[in-house]
Amino acid sequence: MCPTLLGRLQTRVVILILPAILAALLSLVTGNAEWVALVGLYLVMGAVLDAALYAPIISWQPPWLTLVLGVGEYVLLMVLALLLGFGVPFWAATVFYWFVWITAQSVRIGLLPLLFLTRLEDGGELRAVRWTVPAPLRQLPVLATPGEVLPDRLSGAWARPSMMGRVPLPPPSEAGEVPADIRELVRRAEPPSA
Amino acid sequence: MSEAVYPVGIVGGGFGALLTHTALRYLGFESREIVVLGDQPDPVATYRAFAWGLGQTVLRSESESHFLPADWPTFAVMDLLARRRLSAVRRSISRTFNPAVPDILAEAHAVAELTGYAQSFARCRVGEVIRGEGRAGPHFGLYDEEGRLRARARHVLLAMGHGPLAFPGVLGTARRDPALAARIVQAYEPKRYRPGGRYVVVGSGIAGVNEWVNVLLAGAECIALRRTPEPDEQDLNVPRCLFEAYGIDAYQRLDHAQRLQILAKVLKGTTPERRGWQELIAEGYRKGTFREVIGEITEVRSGPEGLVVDIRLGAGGTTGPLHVVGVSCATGFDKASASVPILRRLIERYDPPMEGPRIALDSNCGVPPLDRPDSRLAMIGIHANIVVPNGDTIAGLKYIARRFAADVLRAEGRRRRPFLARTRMHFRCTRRAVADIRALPDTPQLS
Repeated sequence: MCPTLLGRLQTRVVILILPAILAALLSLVTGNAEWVALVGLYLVMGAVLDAALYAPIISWQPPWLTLVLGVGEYVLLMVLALLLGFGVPFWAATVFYWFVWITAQSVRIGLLPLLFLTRLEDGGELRAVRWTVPAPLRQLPVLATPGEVLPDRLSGAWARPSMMGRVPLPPPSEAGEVPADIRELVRRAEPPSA
Repeated sequence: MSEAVYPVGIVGGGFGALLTHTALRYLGFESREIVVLGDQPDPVATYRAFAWGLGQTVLRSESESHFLPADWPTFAVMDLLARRRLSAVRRSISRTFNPAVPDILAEAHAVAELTGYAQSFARCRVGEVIRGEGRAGPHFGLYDEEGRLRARARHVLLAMGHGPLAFPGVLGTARRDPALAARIVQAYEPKRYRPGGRYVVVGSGIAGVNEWVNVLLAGAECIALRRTPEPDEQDLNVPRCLFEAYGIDAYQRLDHAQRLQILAKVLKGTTPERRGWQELIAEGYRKGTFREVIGEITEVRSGPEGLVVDIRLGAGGTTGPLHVVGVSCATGFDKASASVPILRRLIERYDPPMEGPRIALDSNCGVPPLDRPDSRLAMIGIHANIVVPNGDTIAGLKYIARRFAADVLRAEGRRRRPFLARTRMHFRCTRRAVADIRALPDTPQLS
């Protein structure tokens, strides 16, 4: 899948709802609020990673990479919990993290496709089933009327003395110019040059 | 047929029709509200014939490319459930899993049966689609090749599949010559290579490589004629991100001419790296039974072994007369809209905007000027890849089918099928597909 930033953030929030509820129950039962706080920390950390790291550098995310990122996030979360003074034992936090991760991934893989039919096609975004349609054309704010005349500024001499002797600006034509993001997609599809 | 107007009509009876029917059923329509007009009641028949012709045993589509209403479980998970083994899931995680053709066909049949595809289907080759108004409101009349009205539908999806098979250059002329026709075949047609024979295979895509292997496996000699100098190893038809919102959003910002440029670039021949194939080809090269040249056939005539062909080489010069048993063209399909009779008549009658040889569809795959929100006329498949670049893959067909179905649901003012009801439908299909796959023999993976 090639998740967009919005898709990453939406998915991360939605898949952590069930683990957050379970963590809240666990906190209520044990009287220790750190379980639910740990899920909150995981959410914030993940959102920051999504925005600052994953979205800019990972365009296509194969399933194995999700597993690798899960391991990386585990290490990072444990370090953060330690630095922030969480009192949950390390082994319990480890079991809890992997329980949360597996639950979240199960929701992502098994439940989200049923709730959001086109999520996989929409870069992980939770969109309604709709087409991607370019922005509709809008009417111009002013239109010429019969008898329209040019103002002095535009009707004066075309050749401006102040521009004489300077390097001319590049020609305006960009006919056939392909946007950079499409060029990048095509470049990735090309074999590496010898 | 009665004067009644169906909410939805689908023209064509292949994968596109089945996927659209499934999306419509999943979202809320009943089978009796959908009419599918095609010349094959079995939605996998055309594909099965092509796969048989190619000797194809697995698909290179990713495991998400299946026919179930929703995107999970994938084929890898169904393989786990059906055959109680983890190997497919492991391959899927590392992106090396190729769903087996028999498994795909079994799943398609299960989905067709449980969504009531047969109840919607009527055998008919639609020849013309004509906009109708009047008491019935905006709709389309669907006429057969004899000009008889067979159905009316408010919304119509054209899912005719590929155009005719393409034979490049002099091969097209030779194919029309009765004395030579049987010796010039398409990769997708049924054919047999004989031991000791010598064949030219034209084309550098996956179908071409498949034919090289088929020739070598038959114990014959293969002259591979590549028309593009360097095939890449991209495993799918288009770059992966062009399959999804990220790519399709960017693609849709281009004008039609730019889209055609992109398609021409990304849809060039691709050759996935497959260990088994490469070993066979390398062995053929060592033994002298396989050679690859870059160029074009310039002459074909009858000869003592069947045909004599001459090839103009890309690097200059010619091969000189080559005596071969036959030529196999892995050169795909004619993509011009006018090559499909129903589209040719539509172009003649309504003069839609064209981009080169293809109808310039709107961003929602609608056919201008006939398409409108309250009575949609849209297209799916290869003729829609001017809008959705992978429009002729299963994933691309689903992309279009789902959005068309949602449009129709909105236009008809209908509510979505309740979550529990559609989930039940989905898992009934899944259960049946798993049971059917379990009964099938295992198909070896390619790599």
